[in-house]
Amino acid sequence: MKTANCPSCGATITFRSAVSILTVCDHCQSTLIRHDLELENIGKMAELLPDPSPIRIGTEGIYRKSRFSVVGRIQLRYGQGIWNEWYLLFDNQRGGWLGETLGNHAVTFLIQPPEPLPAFSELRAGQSVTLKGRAFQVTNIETARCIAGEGELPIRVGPGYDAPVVDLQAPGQVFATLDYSETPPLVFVGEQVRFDDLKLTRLREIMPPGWEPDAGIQAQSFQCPGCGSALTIRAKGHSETLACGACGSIIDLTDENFRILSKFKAKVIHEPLIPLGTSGTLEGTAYQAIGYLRRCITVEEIDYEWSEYLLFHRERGFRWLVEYNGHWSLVHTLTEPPLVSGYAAKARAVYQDRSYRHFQTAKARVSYVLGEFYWRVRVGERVEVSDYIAPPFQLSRERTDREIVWSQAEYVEPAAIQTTFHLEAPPPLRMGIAPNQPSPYQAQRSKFRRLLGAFLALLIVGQIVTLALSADQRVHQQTFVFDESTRNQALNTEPFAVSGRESNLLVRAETNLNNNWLYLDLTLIERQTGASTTIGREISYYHGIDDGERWSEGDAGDDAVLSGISAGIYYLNVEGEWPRSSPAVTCTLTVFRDVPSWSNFFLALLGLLIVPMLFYWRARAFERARWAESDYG
Amino acid sequence: MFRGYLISGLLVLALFATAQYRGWSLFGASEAKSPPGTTRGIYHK
Repeated sequence: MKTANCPSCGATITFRSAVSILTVCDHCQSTLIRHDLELENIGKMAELLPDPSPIRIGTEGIYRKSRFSVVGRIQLRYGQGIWNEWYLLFDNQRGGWLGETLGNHAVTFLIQPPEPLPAFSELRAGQSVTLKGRAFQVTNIETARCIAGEGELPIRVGPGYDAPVVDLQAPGQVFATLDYSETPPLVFVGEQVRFDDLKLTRLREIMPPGWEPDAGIQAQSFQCPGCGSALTIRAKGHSETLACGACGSIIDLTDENFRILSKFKAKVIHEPLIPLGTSGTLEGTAYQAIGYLRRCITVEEIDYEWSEYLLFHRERGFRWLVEYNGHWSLVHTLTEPPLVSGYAAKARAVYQDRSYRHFQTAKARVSYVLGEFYWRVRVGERVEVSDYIAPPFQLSRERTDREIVWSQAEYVEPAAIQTTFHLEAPPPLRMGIAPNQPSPYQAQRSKFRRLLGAFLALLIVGQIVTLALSADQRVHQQTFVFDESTRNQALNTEPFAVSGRESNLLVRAETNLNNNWLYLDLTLIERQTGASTTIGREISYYHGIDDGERWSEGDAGDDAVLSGISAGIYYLNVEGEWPRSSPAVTCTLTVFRDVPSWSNFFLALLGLLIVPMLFYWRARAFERARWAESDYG
Repeated sequence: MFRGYLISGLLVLALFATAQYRGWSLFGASEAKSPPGTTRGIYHK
């Protein structure tokens, strides 16, 4: 630790880090450059913009079991608002950076550029860059402008200094920033971290004027510079722009005079279903709706438009609530890019061990805006959106030349929206199937599969038991000769006894048919009651050789099964019919009781499969309706 | 739908067991008398 006196006001200046070269005097805001033995005053540092960050100089924390203190800060403005880079001094005197933007935090360390890096102008969002053998994806390309600095810093900064920076991400929350303000570019590599994991202490207790830590969202009213309408800023310090619903002015909230950035004329004035300013609790956090925009894609000259509500919570940051055709999804941006593989219908994105199928890629444009946004929103703004689905989740990649943003959506039941936001009118009825709408059949699929398996097992066991226990008992056998002497005569068998429980009865006919036929009218008669069952059986057998090819048709034997025959004394009445010119036909009839049967097995099998097949068909129809709106529909 | 399938499946199995035990069958054993040899006459002249 080294101390010196401020050459401007004489206040004691302390350098805690040996590598710090710049400090800003707490008392007079002089920017002091450290030389060997003296401090050089290079002028007053501009004032920092008030922001709601709870971190301050002196804040302490732990990263990977190493304690650190926050000793400096650079505050920058970039496309999506204010970005703080806090300079960290670890106990071992190692320096690091804690990046803080839109509620996201990343700890990075300066490393030596391992290999030549592409020029800033050559980089595009989505491009792959290799650092130390690891493939990173370019996710954001910005030229950030330094607003001001405070505390001690290892680099020389000043207001108005432009920093062309590129953010890179790799799986596993790995994060890197390339700072092209120096040659060769500075390379910072680290990881995205959760605020709570840093175990920060000595945080700012008293917020800057206008900020109260427990008051949640701070509202500030002002008049629209375009039309004079009363407007309210609900997320002051977080919002970059505000769109006036009355005149279509998009106002720069970072400008103290509320400069108008652009104006748009809406063809239709849209009224948000969730009025801006309404609060609702989602995922255990009370969010307030602060912005509303409509976006649309055009497919085959048809516009498909949906609504997006920007939700805000002071600690949790932003969420989106998206509504399309009565379907709702809660969306949050991802800090880690999913792994994408394959092309077209086979494209997949894997995120947190869940595989998502590519659904659609389209150019979306903003068609209407109202309320606050954390970036410089503008009607007509276009991005390429690629959606990947794994209901109830959906991953969306929004891509421009300069930025790639991944987000994850989770389907929310419309009834929950009405309850959460205390809406008087029910939300619009759902139309069609949403890409990430959970299938009502999906949850039941495994239950159905298990039950079908159990039923089939029972059926097979039942059939095996039946086959094993069938008596297959021969109860009678008798031979008849059908010739001219028996033509047009009814013949009777000897009586035979059928005993035991009610069962089936098989009548087997074995004949000497040879290129001939025999038709039998068989009547089974119970001798005592006279109850009868009549069946007709046609037996035919032909064979021969045609064009050197042997053929045969029919069978000289036949089996007929009579069902539900009770115990009793029976006889068969047999009446035959055969060709007049044919030789005598000998037929032996054998009667069996309680024979194994397969017909009931197959009927039951069909009965057990009908409902699962219907279920499967309906589940398929649901998925077909879902995919009809995809690139592959 | 699941409960309906559970009930209908149990009914099918119960009916199957009863039919097997009692020797019932949905299929009739009777065949209509057709002029025999017609098929043979057409295909195997």
